[in-house]
Amino acid sequence: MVTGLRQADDRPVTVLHSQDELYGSKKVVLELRNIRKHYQDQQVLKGVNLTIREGEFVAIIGRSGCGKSTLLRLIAGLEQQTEGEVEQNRQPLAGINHSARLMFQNGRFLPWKKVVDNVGIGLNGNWKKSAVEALEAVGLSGFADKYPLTLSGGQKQRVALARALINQPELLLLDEPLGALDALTRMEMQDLIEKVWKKQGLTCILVTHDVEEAVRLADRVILLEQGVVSEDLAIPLERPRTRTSASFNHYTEQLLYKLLTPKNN
Amino acid sequence: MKINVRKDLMHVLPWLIPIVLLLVWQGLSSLGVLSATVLPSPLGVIRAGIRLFKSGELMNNLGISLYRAMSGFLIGGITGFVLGLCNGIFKVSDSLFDSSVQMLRNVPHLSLIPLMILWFGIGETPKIVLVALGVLFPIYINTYHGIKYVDKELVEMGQAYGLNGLSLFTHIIFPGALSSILVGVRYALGVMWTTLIVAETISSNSGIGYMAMNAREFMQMDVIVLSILIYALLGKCSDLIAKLFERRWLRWSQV
Repeated sequence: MVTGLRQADDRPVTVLHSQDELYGSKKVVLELRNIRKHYQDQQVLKGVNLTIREGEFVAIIGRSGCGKSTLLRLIAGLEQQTEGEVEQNRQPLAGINHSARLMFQNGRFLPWKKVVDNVGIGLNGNWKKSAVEALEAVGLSGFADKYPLTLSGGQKQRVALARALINQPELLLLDEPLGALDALTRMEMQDLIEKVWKKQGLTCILVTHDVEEAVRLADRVILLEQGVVSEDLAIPLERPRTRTSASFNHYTEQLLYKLLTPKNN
Repeated sequence: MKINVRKDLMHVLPWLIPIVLLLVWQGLSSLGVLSATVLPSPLGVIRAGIRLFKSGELMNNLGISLYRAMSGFLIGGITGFVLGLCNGIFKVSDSLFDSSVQMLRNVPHLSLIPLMILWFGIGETPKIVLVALGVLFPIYINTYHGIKYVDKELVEMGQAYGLNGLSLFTHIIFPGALSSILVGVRYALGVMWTTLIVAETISSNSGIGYMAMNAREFMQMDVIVLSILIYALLGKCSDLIAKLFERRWLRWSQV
């Protein structure tokens, strides 16, 4: 259980929990069994199996076109698999998954609605107050009455996060939400996502092509190659994680190597 | 200070050419170079306006023209809007109606004037029907396209966030189509006035167009020019109103 890795300041890395120890006893939230997805003659997913437990932060990485976004859209109920089963809390998914919230890469705001009304989209009753609170929680107090077109990229993704969180979803799905941000804003957003994940006890699935981001945030990194899971790697590092530590680099390099070495089938 | 002077100048500049033209026109008329039988002076036109206003003729004709324009616009506009809405949203209605509407659209509505006169005489009906027909198609097409080409990604986001049916329409589809619909409205307002002018000029016994044609019988050049100017003013007014709505409803796009 304890590896020979050492952090930058030469403390031994405390790899005290394997993934099973951390989440093994928790209930299974999502179960994907032999998922296949075809578009006409193109096979995007060729039999994906995946079990995600309550409170886990799972990152799915892979080259573009490997099917990682499709997988996320299946879980969100925006697409239907050709074969296989997606079960959430042991119930098969049908149609839009209302207990999941998807954060899109390009934000997707209604430009004709103020920020606060964008956050409250789809809600009924007295949601204004909680929308303002959700904005405060992502560090955007005072932005409620602005229009989305006036926001910067980072602010937009904060609004997107608030919009996803106000629904108190069981599953938070992140589809490369930070892909278009500059490096500094991206790091701030990663910290924020980690903070709300911890605080609200969410189950998160992050799709990204940024290996560092995956290692920074995830308990488990799934590598998707040519439509199948080719690696399921636990990242048992302590949080908050420092990018400069040796163990951090050990994981990023291991994953990068796998990504860059084509899979033989 | 310097910048302010420049800014004021920029406000005045668009008016410069019209004002100079008016002064030249008045000057030429006063000097007798421009005969009143060819073109009356600006002051003459204003005098004719005052005269007709006092006799009540101007307000009567203006009123009846406005009535025709409004009723035609409402009938045609609502029909076009509802049709565009249905065909934009429902597949069945789309395949049933759209190609027929597109075919009818290619008939110039003004070519129906002889038919209209034979069917409905020279009363109110043919004018209102003609205006309604002219207005229907631009509003139909822009509503239809606006609805059809609402950003699919936004619609998907709405569905993922729990909107469906009516709520999806009111929160995303309609607001998304609104700017296109308003373009249709502005275009239709232009069509509305041209249609009315033609209809009133050809067959009528009231309205601004009739006033102009009647003045032709008596060689009242000032009244003819006055009628033309009133049409121009009416067109400008409706355009301003449409712009006002655009600014109000599309405020988000001007931030």
